[in-house]
Amino acid sequence: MWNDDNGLDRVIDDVAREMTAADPPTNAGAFRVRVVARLGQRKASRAVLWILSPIAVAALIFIVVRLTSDTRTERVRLKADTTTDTARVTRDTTTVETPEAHAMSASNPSVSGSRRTRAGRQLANAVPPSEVEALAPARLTVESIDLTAIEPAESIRLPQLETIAPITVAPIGEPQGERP
Amino acid sequence: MNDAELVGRAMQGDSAAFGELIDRHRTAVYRAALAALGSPADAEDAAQDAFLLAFRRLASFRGEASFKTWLLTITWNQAINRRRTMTRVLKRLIAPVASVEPGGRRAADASVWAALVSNGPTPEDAAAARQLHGAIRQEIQRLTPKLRDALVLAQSGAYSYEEIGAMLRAPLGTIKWRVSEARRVIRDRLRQRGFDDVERR
Repeated sequence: MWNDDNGLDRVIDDVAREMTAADPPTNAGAFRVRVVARLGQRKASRAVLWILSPIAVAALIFIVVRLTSDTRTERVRLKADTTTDTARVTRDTTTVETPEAHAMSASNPSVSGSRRTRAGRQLANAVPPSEVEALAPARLTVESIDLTAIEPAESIRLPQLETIAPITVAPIGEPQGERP
Repeated sequence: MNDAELVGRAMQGDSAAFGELIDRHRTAVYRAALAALGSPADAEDAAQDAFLLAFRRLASFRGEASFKTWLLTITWNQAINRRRTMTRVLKRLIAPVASVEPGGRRAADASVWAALVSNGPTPEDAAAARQLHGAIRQEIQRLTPKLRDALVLAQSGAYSYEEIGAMLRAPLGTIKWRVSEARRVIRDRLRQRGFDDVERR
């Protein structure tokens, strides 16, 4: 069939040609339809991405905000638990109303009012009122302690001191002998 | 309407124009993918992927080369990427030659060669020719990728050497040398398998 390299090369070329001689398995129309359909799918998926991505971002922001607020509330609650007693005592002492205090607040409403509103605002910001109210015991009612005014004491009359004569000091002379 | 005009219309969103480009070049694209992958099914998928990628990159087509060359370059790169990731394809390409007789491959190939060089159109000739073609195909598949790709693309008849050079990113002279070297390697290996001994009888 062949007796030289050229003859063998022709067979090699034929075999190599056969390796790519096949036509596409699908006909032209089907192939084009598939490609165009995949192009359409890609466009649709892009459109869905464009629509869904803002929603996803908004949902993510909502979740982050929600988690952050929950964490902050939990932290405040823990802090409030540890300081409940102190805060309660402080609140009780500040809310004990003596007649004098009542009279003072009545006479100067701006100072006491602003102080109360500031403290109340801080308390409202720190702890939700409903939870604290549920945990707090009933308010103590302390009777007013009536203090009687102390009468002025008699003055201590001290006798006037006598004048003392001045002390005269003589100069010290030269030291004698050796120092130890 | 030539390719450049169709490309211009496709860039403006005319899907029918791009469909026309698909019809014109699908066979060349498919054969290039088949040369790289060796599997019709994989070549079909790679051809579709190549057209999709080409559509997305239409804006980058400058017209420096022909649309076909540009498309074939995309196809080849797509197919090579697929070939690299598909180990099953690689295993098929480098599959060892199965022995056909207990006496060994060399004896079997020599008998085929003897049948082919004889002039008589015996019934064995057809079987022997098929067997030799199989042996050559195996040797082609055993070639290094550079030599194999150049040989298969060059012999497909669907591409010019310039187009092959663009696909393989090699100068024209290098492509020609690779084709020649591929033939020489195959000849040597066939002789090592016993064909040379028969030829000289």
